[in-house]
Amino acid sequence: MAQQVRPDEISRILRESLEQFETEMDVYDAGSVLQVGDGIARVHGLQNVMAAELLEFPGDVLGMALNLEEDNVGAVLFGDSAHVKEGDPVKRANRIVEVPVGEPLLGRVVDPLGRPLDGKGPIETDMFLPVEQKAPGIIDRQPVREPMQTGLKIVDGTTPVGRGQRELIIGDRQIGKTAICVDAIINQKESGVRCVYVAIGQKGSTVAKLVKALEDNGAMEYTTVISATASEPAPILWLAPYSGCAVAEYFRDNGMHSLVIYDDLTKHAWAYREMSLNLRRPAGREAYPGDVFYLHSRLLERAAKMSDEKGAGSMTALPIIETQEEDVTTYIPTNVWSITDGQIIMEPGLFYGGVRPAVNVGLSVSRLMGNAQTDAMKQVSGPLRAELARFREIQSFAQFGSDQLDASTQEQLRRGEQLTELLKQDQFAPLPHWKQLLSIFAGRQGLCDDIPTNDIRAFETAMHAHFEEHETELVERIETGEKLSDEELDKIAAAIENCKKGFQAAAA
Amino acid sequence: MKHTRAARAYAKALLQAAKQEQSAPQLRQPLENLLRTLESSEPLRSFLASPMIAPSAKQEALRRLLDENAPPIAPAFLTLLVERRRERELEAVVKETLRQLDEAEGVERAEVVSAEPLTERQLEALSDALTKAVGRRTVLNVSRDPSLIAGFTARVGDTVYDGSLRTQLERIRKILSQPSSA
Repeated sequence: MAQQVRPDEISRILRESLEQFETEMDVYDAGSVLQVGDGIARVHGLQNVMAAELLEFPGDVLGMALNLEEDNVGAVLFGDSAHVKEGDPVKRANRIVEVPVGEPLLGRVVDPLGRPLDGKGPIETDMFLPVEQKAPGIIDRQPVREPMQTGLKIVDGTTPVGRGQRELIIGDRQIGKTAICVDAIINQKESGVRCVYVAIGQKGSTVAKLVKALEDNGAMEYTTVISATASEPAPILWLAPYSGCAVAEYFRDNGMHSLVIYDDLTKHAWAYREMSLNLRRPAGREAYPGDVFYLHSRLLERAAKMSDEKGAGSMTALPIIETQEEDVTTYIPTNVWSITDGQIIMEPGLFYGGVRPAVNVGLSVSRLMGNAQTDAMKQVSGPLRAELARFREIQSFAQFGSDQLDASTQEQLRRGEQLTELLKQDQFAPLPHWKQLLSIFAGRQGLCDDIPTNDIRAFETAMHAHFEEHETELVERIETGEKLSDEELDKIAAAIENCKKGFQAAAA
Repeated sequence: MKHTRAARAYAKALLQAAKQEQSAPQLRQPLENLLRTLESSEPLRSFLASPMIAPSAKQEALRRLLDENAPPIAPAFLTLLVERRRERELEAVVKETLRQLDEAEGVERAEVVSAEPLTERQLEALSDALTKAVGRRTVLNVSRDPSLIAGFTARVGDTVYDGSLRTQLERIRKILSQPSSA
């Protein structure tokens, strides 16, 4: 910043800026504030205002027209309502609320109106999309067909997510819901999927930590973070997922792939409830307004796999819902549950028992299952979900004494323990497809049954290293994702056995 | 704005009745005078708002406030309004009646605010220009506001024609405070 500032330079810049200025008369539509409070303003006049139109209040406060009533307009304020007084003029901006979109947004942290929050200067894009857009119709879509790898064995193996799918992540606070999403973002480094992370009502420090984690893992380059922290007024929180959606939609509609994470929609529903009650809309169950289902359904419906004519882009959505005391039967969780194409259920019991990611395999489902996996993965992980679910069931009654169990049940128990151990995974360490496939294959074929449970993760690492070094041909074959022949499976099994011998010899 | 619905109904009724008697245009002057009195007199407003004062007294007072040459429908209407206990909304009713009268006569009202007093010629030119822009005969209500610095603003309905120096300076401020891409 030690640049010399020359006065004539400043004059030149000022002159250039002023050349944009025209001394024409301003003609605009204006109303006046009747009442203001709770982040809501009632405005008199504005006869021709559009729903969801941007309004300009004095003091550079923006607002959005929501309730169009007979003799007044109810508007929400995207800023400090302390600047707005009764009688203030309100200008129509003549445009619907929109956000900047495009490649320049990648690597940036912005607020829901697209204003940068990261101090990296203005966002240089001339492309804007309205925050509220209609979801693509049936003709414009096609069924989900490619996997959206999260890099987590338990997710990609048992509840795979496809490009264009909506998979709900639900669970209590602090048990790794966001961690799954962050890993999924980090895993997109090679895949070319652009990511959008929308933080709704979180602590500023949490968002800063997340951005830091993404930067450290080199994931910020292809990620946009939309941040609406808890200190922002409710309308800003409410707007956040829609603007995140618009940013991701740009990629979807231009033949690219995007992943958008809404963290979390419970707080989004709270913000909308606050806003609706202040706008005096009638309250329904749990004091949410009547259209709280539509609030989330229209948002999640915008995730789609586009048809080949439309460029075959996709937008995958991972909404997060936070439950209280594992109660998934309250209003908002059941709503979002019924909108999405499956759910990943996280359990505190598993989390504190050391099973991380703490996914409850029995209750989690992906309604697309095979369509969201490669053929090879489908072949190898097939009944994994059912096996694990059965294991959890047996485990719960085996606690009362396992010596009277028959041999086959004991065998299932043992296998289940091994599999559970194999499916554990550290944070920020997503695995490529072939590593996941090898681990699941080894576990399901019983190839590591004779390794002590405590050593399994060490063996897994050794096995991956062994394949990377000696079996590059097989690795390449697996990475094609095509169905594996019996001989190829035998070859993989033999290589694993081979590696196991070396591992056991080293351990002895 | 709470009373607009009732005001609208009363205003409409008054105008319809006046139209039958062909006395609608004659209503304007007495109503405008009444409105001015109402707006300038706080005691009158609290007198009308007070529930302690008998309706007959209010009716008598309002009748006296009316111009002598007002068409007979006017005092009758005020009597009815008090009888119906709507005297608190008198101001809103009168305003709404005048607005509907304007609408029926095809007249637009423009609220003109200027920094300096405007001359007759300027007002005439402004009225002509606005009439051309709006497409209907425009009548000006002029007031002064030195905070505009120079120039004027004219508001017709919701549309504001803003030629004030204050707004232009504000625009310059916005342009200059924009992070320049140079």
